Amino acid sequence: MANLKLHSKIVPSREERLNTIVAFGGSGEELVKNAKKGCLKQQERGFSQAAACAEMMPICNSAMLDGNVVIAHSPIGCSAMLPMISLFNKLGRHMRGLPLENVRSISTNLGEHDVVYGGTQELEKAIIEADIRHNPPVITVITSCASGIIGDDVDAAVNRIQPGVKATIIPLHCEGFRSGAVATGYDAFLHGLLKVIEKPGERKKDTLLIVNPLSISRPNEVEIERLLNKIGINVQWFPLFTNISNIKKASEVAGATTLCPLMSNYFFREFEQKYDVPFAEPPMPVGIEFTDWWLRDAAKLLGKEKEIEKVIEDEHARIKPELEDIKIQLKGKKAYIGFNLAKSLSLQSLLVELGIDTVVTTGFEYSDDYGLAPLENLKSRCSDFTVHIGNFQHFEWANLFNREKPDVLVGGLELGGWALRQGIPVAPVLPQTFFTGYEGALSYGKDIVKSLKNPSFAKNLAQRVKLPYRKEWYSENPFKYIGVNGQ
Amino acid sequence: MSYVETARSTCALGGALSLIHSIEKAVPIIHAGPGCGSVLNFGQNLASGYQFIGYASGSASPSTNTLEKHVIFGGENRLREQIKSTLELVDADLYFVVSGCTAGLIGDDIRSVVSEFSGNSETVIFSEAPGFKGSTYQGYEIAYKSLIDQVIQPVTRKEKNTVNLLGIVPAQDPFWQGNISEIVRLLGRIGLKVNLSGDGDTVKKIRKAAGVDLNILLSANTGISAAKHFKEKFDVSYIQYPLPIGTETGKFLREIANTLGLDKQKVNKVIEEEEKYLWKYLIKFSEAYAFILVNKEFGIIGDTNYVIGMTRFLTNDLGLHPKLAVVTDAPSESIRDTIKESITNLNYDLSPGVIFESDAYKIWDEVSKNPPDLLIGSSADKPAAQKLNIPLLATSYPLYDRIALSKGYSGYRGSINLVEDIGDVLLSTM
Repeated sequence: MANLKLHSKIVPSREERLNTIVAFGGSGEELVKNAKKGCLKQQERGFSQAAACAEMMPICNSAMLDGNVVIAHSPIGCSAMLPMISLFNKLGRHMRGLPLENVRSISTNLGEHDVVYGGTQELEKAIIEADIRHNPPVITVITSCASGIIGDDVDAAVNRIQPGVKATIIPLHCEGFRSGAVATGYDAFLHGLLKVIEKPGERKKDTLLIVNPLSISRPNEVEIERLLNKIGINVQWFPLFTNISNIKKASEVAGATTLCPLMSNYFFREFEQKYDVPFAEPPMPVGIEFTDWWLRDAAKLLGKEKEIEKVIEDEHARIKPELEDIKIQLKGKKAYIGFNLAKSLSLQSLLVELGIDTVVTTGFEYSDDYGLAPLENLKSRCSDFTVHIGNFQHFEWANLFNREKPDVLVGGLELGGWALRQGIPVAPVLPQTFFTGYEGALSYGKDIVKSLKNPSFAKNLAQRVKLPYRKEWYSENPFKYIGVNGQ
Repeated sequence: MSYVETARSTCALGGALSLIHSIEKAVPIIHAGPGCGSVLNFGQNLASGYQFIGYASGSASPSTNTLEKHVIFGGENRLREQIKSTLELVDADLYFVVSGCTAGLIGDDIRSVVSEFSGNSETVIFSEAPGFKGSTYQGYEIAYKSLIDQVIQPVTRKEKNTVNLLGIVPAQDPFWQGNISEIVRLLGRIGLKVNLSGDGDTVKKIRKAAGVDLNILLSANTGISAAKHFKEKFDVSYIQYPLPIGTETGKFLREIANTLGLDKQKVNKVIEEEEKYLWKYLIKFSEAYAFILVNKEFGIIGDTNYVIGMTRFLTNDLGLHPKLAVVTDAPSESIRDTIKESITNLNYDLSPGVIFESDAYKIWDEVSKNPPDLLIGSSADKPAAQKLNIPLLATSYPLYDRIALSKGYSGYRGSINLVEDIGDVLLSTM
């Protein structure tokens, strides 16, 4: 039954391309040391829990492309994230003053008959129908574990019907079983988008393309625009909350940078090769030092190194008094940071500046490309901390929460509820949160102060929650199952 | 199966997980691709009114996370290892292995791997619920049958006046807990003890579930094959009654009482008291009714249960005009006439147009041809309703702009909730 068709059009997995690892537990120092020696091993876990797969990012991101219809060529459950995306989409559009539009999705609803006889006929029907119903500029087709294993040739189907379909059809190959690293899905999504990007006409010499994931919202974009506009740099956001004609013209910019180097890694390399757009991928601009770093790298792309120094100097002086005030209120607090690593490390840099000690920082995956430089930077600025790399893996979080007893969780949807259950107040970083740049540092610092002021809900929950683990687990090494068997 | 725009359920694996998460101290061991457990969890929790259900839900669900090498070389060793480590680490009363698409397509022999753990003191069972086997509703039935075959024990003695409830799919019905608790309350009032309610049942109770007098299937569509299987295996007969709302509940209680030979007078007295309670509030509602509801034509987009229950309540008790009923859970052809009869056999010869449709585009094509004054549907229907200026109360999956915790719409008390919520929507859109 296992008839695997591998297409050359498929992006390599992060594990293959970047030696990404999804299992590590140890000190930040140890991670840096091993990474520099090139001896980080791909390991698995002998016990694992529900994680995120490479299909998530393509389906969620492409559902939010303006006017797109996303077709999940899959059983119906693979679309289960779309209600959440409808909400994020609504929120994102509202914050940008865009007209509210529903996420449009069709599932080919693969059933038993389809997995035996093939599902491409149903896919063709769905694409044609999507084109007639909605007249969209693009249609993205998401593959799934099921469509991959049965060997449906999605590209052939798309090529067959494209001449009769007005929309540009973009197949995104993202079978969940292909990679343990979620970011492989970002690559699949952006690789697909590259197909609609056209050769540049005239370059906009003062414009930077900035890649921004859906989790970093409008107030953060406004802050970045404010800072770059001061030195005459215009910003073109990519790829969400913009229309397809802007995406097509993405190559007309003078350079490209990113608010999430984990997301943009593959895209930039292909983008540069194809359209000769130079790029910079500094860590996320969160906190003073990393914002400085980010601005310098971004400005350098357009030869504005000198001009940006003045901005940095002014901003430092401007926010210093307020930052000091926040710092006093957070003195001696301990935080647990829970996001993907690119975001975690940047937030950790901000926490250092706020005087908060980070006991654990997590990443859903690790690669030197976006991990090593910020880790080395942090190593020199704070006392040693634990790094947890895992595609979720709640049992390890639960053990670490219990062991480290942080005062606050700096985290998002994935860890937030779990921290509350263990009595840890949450300072969430969600699609509404403002945390980037200098103003964001102040805003988020005040959020943390507030989160610590009334921990009642977390404390009340913790007294009543029974987590599913045996009590012995909490005295075990949290990383006990890493590298054990992993059949 | 046919393609569908804006899915109104998840897959068979999602349904199986819903059932497992409704059981006290039960833990799933998902044998599927890395994202299935999370996608279904994020999706179902958020889209069923933000309720996080289960003892080991979401990122706490053990999962083999099958990768390419398992797809090529088979995933049985990985599953074996995962069951073993789960038993070591997780403290549960029931370990429920449930397989998804990858395992289903590569043909892993789940049964034989699970049977290796049969000598353990822990209860390890399994279900094969690959997503391609169908929707949440079908997955619920598949997993329910596994409980019948692998957990429920034969009994020598029946416990009198005891029943099991089944047919309400946790989280797929965002108000499942409230709906179940009202029915449990009412059955208790007429002297019945509910063994399995479908909400927080213990493994101990599941084991002795064959000792009841009667199974009550609270759905005209879901759980029929499970109830039949239960009857064949343990000789427990079942009665099927779609989720009752409003005074319809009296008919439901009388039918149960008749079947079990309960004291009629006592049952009538309960119904009288309950109706008094209901109408006490509806009498208070008269002015608001005159103000906002009189002559309103309503439409319902929902699964069989909600469409039948709400249409009957809003027409027979509340005196509204049924215009359109859209049944979204794709009942099989053979039972559609019966379902249609329940929807259309209403007081004063009123009856709505009935369509069986899951595809959002086709549903809204139908609604816009003949728009009602008021709609009950899902959160996904809101943008289309707004465009046509139709006030909409979202009660069905996906429900992502409301919180659903303890509230329900069933029985007497639930019907008051429905009136209040419809009132809220109409007043806030005036």
